[in-house]
Amino acid sequence: MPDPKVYVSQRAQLAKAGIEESMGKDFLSELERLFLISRQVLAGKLRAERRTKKRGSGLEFAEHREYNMGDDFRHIDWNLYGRLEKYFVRLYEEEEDIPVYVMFDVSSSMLEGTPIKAVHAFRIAASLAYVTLAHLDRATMLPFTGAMEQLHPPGRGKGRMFKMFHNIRNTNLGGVTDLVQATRSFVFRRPRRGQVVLISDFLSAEGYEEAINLLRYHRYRVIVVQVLSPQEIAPKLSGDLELMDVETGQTRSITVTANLLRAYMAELQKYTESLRTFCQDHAIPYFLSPTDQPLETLMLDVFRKGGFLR
Amino acid sequence: MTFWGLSGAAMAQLAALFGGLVFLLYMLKLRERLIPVSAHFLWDRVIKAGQRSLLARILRRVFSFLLQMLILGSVVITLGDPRAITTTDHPDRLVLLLDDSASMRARDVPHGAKYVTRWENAVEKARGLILSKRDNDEIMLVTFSSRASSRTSWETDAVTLLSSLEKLSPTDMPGDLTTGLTYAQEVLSAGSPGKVILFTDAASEPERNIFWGPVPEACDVEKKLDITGMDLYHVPLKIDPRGANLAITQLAARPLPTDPDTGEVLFQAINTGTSQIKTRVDFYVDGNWRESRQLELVGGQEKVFLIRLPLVGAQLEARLKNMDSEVDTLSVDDRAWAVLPRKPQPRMLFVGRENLFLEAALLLLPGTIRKVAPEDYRPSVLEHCMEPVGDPCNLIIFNEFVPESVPPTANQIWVHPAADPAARQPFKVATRSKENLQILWTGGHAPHPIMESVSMKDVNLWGESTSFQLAAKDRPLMQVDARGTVLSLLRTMPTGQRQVAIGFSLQDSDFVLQISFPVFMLNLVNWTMGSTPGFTATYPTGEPREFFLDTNQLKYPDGTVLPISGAGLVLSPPRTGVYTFLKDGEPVHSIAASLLSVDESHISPQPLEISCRTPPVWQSKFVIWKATKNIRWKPMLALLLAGLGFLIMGYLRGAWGAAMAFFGALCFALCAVYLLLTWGYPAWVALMGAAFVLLCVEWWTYHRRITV
Repeated sequence: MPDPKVYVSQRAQLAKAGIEESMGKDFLSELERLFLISRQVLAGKLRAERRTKKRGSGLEFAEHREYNMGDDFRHIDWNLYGRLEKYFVRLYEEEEDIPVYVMFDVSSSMLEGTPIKAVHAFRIAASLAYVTLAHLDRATMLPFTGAMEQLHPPGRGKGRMFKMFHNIRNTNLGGVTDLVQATRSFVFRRPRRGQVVLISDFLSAEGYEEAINLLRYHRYRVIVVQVLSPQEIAPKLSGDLELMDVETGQTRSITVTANLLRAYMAELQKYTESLRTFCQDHAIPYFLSPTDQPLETLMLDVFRKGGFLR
Repeated sequence: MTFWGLSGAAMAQLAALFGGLVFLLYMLKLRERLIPVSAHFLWDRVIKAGQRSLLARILRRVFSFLLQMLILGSVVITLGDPRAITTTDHPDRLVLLLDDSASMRARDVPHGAKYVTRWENAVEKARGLILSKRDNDEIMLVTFSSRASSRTSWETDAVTLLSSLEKLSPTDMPGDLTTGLTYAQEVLSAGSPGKVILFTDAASEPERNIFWGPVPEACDVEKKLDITGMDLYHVPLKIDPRGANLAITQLAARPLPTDPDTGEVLFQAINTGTSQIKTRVDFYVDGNWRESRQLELVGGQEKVFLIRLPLVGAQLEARLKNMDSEVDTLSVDDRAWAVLPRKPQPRMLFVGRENLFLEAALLLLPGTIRKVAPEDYRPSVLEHCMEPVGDPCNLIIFNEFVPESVPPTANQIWVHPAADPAARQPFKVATRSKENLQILWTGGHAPHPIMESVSMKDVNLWGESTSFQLAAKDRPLMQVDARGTVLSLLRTMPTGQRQVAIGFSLQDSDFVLQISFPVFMLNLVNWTMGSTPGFTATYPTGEPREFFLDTNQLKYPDGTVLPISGAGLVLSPPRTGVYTFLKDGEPVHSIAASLLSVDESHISPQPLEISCRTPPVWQSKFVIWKATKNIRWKPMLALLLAGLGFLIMGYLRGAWGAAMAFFGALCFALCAVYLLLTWGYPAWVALMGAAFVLLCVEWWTYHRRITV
């Protein structure tokens, strides 16, 4: 029986090699193409600037609010006072860039599958970050397993990509997934509110609800991308096996039969369905991305369904 | 329960070896592939939903292994060939019928890295049977070859039986199953019924005269034995036909009539194997090498030749020496002996009327001759055949003269004694005749050696002739007609002297003018002197012979001297070699015995069939089943190996594994059916059936994922 640590280390090397390969010129060309596609898809709906709910001194009227002590008199709508004899102040939408935080899971469980889930997650994260940067917004890529020690602030401009790649190269892959710790460490650093794209397999016995809720409570717009490998979706296993949890090293002897496989797939379906339902219930865009799915397909789906770069 | 196949140790070794192999394969089967997964908790949920009880989980892991061990156990016990001999509550009576014929000396039974003889293998099996007997079981040891004899009485004491068994050894005699079974039948005819356990290599021609059921009258065989109801078991020996067998099948010698120091040796050898063998035959006279010949014999070939050798000595021995790498597994038939005939050295005394023809013929013969006129004849002249000294005469020829007293010693030839009418006739005269006669009978189709190469067909007698009245033990030599008018007779005296009487005068016949007359005289003198012109052959071992000799001791080839009493002795030589009859320690007569049995030298086991010629009376009730058919071992072994291979491949996953396991089971089933059809219905068939069923259960439960 191989040592789980050794195994994870081997997989991490493979994943790193895959990620490194993805950082090449070809991938950057692919990202540029994705950006062009995104321009077509988002044309007329979105601009480079993002409107925030933060009310401020912009030119675009947003709404009225009752006058409170201390409000600027200049913003009182005197026409409305004439009709209603009440003081209302005019609120304007403040135009500002919204940071996009792309969090992607690089825990041990993400090192599984062919292609490796972590590589796939990285490619998704890089694509989203690149499109964001290309739209003159701020973006950052945040690899995580548990609590994040460093939080690289979002930057602006395509050139930012190389800095993010450099950061990712220095990231250790593998470890036990702790979504809650990861999100908690993220929100506790109080980054600017913005959009958080959470990319993970979400295969954690502890669940995902608390982590997503934590982001929601701190008013981040969340997008969930679940990455699964084909080997997880439809495993081709049979016979007497010893299953090893790649994160904990825990083993279990089983004999895989057709019935057991069916039961497993049903259980996985149930699990992903519960994640999807959870996201739907909370108006969180949810995307399932098998690792054998072309990146372009996912991106088009993400762009078309909306929710990203709103 | 006893095992007639593999020994307990061999079974244990096999079980340990294959048990280890099965265990190893099972452990390999149990060795689970390590599959890293990230959704471990999902698998946990799935497994917990279908969780079985702990006992079921433990059992299903070992069930398959237990089944496999059971299958292995069944196969190993099958190889042991278990027999439920002692299954009844009543004590058994067993006749252990051991074949101690010469072929049992063949050293071709594998025993570890070496080979043991068939006899040793049979004794080992018999020993196992004795050791497994119950206290009150009675066993009698009987051996058979050409003859059968009890070696113990009905014994219940295993120690006594084992002691007697160890003292037994195979003989040099050919085997005769009919004799053995007849003896066993007689032994069992008295008292309660019992079983006959036959230990034989079946290396003989199929028995055609033993019947299971009424003997058909149409069956033309010498001895007919009906063994209906005999509870007969055959313990086959594990013979490995590794080599060939060369055998001497004939050896005889005769001296040349005109040169007694030179002999003509008739030799015959056979290669009973299948491959060509170069061999050399060496001839020894009294232990001294005389001549060698090289022979090249292809499988099944028989070669015979005549060779002239100087035969000055008493014994001739022929030894076959294999010059090829082929192993000659049976050595007892590679040597043969012959006692050389005594060479006639006649010291003749001629007494009677002058007869130039007769005297001339006698002068041609070896030896000395002294002529004495009738009036000069005294009994004392016999003392010195060569005047004035010399040995006494050993042959007297009385030509138309009868002395007053017949000499008590020396052989005698009487030519027309009745010509002397005044004398007292030594032979009783029947009639006298002066007619012209012709001799019409000289022995018919089996003429006496004296008449060998002699024809009396055109002989005319014109003088007086006398016919003799035959006394007891007299033998006629010539007769005038079929009524029995005997013109010439032969007589052997109680003292061993030989007498020949001729009832006509040689001068009054034209016989002396015939070219065969000197040959007749040569034969006559030779026979009278006790020498036969034909070959003196060696006696086949086991064949009874009657000897009337004045002896009191018999010396065996191994030097053992046994006292004998009485003049008549029937001897069936049990061993090859030279036997000497002694009188007070002095050799009187010798005979040689050799195997000389083509059937016995064919040592390859034959199908032990007991049947009539046509139609075969074979019944399933018959319990000699083991060697009734030739098992085609090679294809069956190939099928078994293929089955094993398929079964191992049956550990493959999925449909291929199932298909392989199915083919494996099919191969075993085919083997079982083949054996069932070929052999019979003994216990091991049930075991094989059980093994097959277990195999099916194992296969089914495994591939239905019940046992995993």
